[in-house]
Amino acid sequence: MIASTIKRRVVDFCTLLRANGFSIGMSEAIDCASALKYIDILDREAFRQALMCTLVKKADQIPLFLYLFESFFSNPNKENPQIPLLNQGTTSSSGGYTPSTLLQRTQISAQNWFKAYSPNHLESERHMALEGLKHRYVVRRNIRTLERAYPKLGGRRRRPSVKGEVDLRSTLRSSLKGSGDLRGLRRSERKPAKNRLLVLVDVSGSMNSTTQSLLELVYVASNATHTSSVFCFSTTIRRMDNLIRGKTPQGAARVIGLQLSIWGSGTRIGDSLRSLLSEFSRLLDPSTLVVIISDGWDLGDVGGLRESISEIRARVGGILWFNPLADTEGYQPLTAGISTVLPYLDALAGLSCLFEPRGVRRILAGMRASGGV
Amino acid sequence: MWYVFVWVLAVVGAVFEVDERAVSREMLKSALNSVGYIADDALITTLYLSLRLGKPLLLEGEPGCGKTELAKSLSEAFNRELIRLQCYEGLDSSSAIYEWDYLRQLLKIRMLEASGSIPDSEIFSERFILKRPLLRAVTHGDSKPPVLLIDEVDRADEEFEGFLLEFLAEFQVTIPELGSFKSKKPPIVVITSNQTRELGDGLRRRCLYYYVSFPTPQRELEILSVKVKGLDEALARQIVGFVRVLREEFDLVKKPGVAETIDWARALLSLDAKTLEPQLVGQTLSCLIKDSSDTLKLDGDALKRAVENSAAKTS
Repeated sequence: MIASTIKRRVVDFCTLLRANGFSIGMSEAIDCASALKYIDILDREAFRQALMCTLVKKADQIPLFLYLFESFFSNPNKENPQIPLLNQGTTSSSGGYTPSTLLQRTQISAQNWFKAYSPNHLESERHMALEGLKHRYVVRRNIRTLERAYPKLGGRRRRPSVKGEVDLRSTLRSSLKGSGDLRGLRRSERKPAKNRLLVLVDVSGSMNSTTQSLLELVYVASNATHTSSVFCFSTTIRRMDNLIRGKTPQGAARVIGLQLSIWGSGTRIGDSLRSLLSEFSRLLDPSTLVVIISDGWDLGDVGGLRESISEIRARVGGILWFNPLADTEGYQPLTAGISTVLPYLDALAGLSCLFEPRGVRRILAGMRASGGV
Repeated sequence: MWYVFVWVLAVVGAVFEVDERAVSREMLKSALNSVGYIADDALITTLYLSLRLGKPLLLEGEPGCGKTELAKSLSEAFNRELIRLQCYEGLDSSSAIYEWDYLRQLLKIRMLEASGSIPDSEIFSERFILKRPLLRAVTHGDSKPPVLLIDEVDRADEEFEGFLLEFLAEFQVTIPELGSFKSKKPPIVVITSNQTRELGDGLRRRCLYYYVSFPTPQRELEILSVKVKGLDEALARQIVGFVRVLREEFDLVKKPGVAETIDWARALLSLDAKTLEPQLVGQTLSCLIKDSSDTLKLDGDALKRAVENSAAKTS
């Protein structure tokens, strides 16, 4: 039997996890309670592992889970628990990947990330580390939702299907398996091609207030899916995903620092889009969804911007624009840049949507309700 | 102390029939150790809970870190049949669950026609079913439930996950003509994934989850001592140190897993190596590096530096 106080604590912990983006249903909570019957709950490692194997379902949830576990179960009486010292009990020379060291590494890398690239935001470094962990998971989910948002087009390959066209080759092959008698018609359909995501991030000086979020976004979008391409632009455009894919946040931060000299400069959206069209035109096809993150402050030629965005719109499946200014109440898209591109967009939304759980789903639901997507 | 557990397990198993769902964590660890699988406490706890709760175990992680090996070791440790379903793109229910043996059905029909009988429902009976891994796992007549390994499930199409859901939740397979088959004793199910694509939430929810990461150097040393007999301990330390340097200090596309470390140790042992020399490492690097771009990252100077760093770490 598990004490009711423990049950209550576990239920509270599940609620905390849900609030942080974990999808925990009743079945997970019941599994968790059942698992606790079989372990010694005074054995902290076993207790944590029992919770982890029943409540965590994805590798990228592990660091946040460990952080929340240590915060929740180490400081039950504190309203605002402090970040615990999680490397206690592990030898520093072990160099392994135990859960504690994994979390420790994640925190260190997150801190270095912000130290290196957010000099204006160092005043609450510890808070930043938490934000980083939490946001990265939420942003990854939102990016993947975007990738799947638009209907997939038929690809080159085929797959068996119940309602598809009659596949003579497959029918013949299956009949030959059974002494040549026709056993039934085999059908197949085109396998949907994977949608491609093209993320264009404005890193000009006017976006300085969102530097931290943009760094997270560039990193996560590069690593969230294999079909995403990430570009940063200001006065010119630079591809980033092939430089930072597969790297740790620390490694990615180092690369961005070395390679991306355009951070914080002026904005010429039209010229950047023109470069995209000329240099990376093969990435623009009807299976591509273009996501632009920019405030729309443009110092370039408005005519050029209109020409570029219209050409991109004609070639791709859709364009979504996330504007940090659109998060403020009473925002009106009146700047020259935004008003020029507005007719070509599927949706214009605030940047915060990308950092909120189910933020993208909300936008897509709105678009579907109005007949889009 | 662990060999006492193994002995007890062997004796009890031989006399009575070991119920793997009733063993303690310590016995589970000892049983796996006895067949050469060295596991972390966290993995043992997860596996133990998976057996006690009767839920499938989903293992994700770096390739070559022992996910598939765990299922094999489990079947060996508990003397259970291992049923393996290797997933691939295009895998369908006829390859995974069952298929009608049309040839035998046709022969039967012709025999019945020749004897003047009318083919009846016997044509669609269990006799004419070709059992594939999932059906075999639920219809085992043996009192000992098998270990079912669903390997690299991420390679299969998303639609195939739909087939798996009923099986994973109820350990049951439904054949429209015959009804549902449910196992009396549910099999021990281990599912592995290399994360080449995101698995659906439905499948994840039905499993206990464990992420298999690279082992600690100490653990890797233990694994080497068990898997590569006759390897000098000093050389084993150097090997583990070097592999650790490769994993941590180089941005490799494919980081060497435990399987690569074991292969490399065996290669060095067969070459009678006594210590790691840059030249020897360069010649045998193909055991560790599996990507052409990674080979370029380990050119002469980088390799020399890596060997020096590993020596410093080992000391």
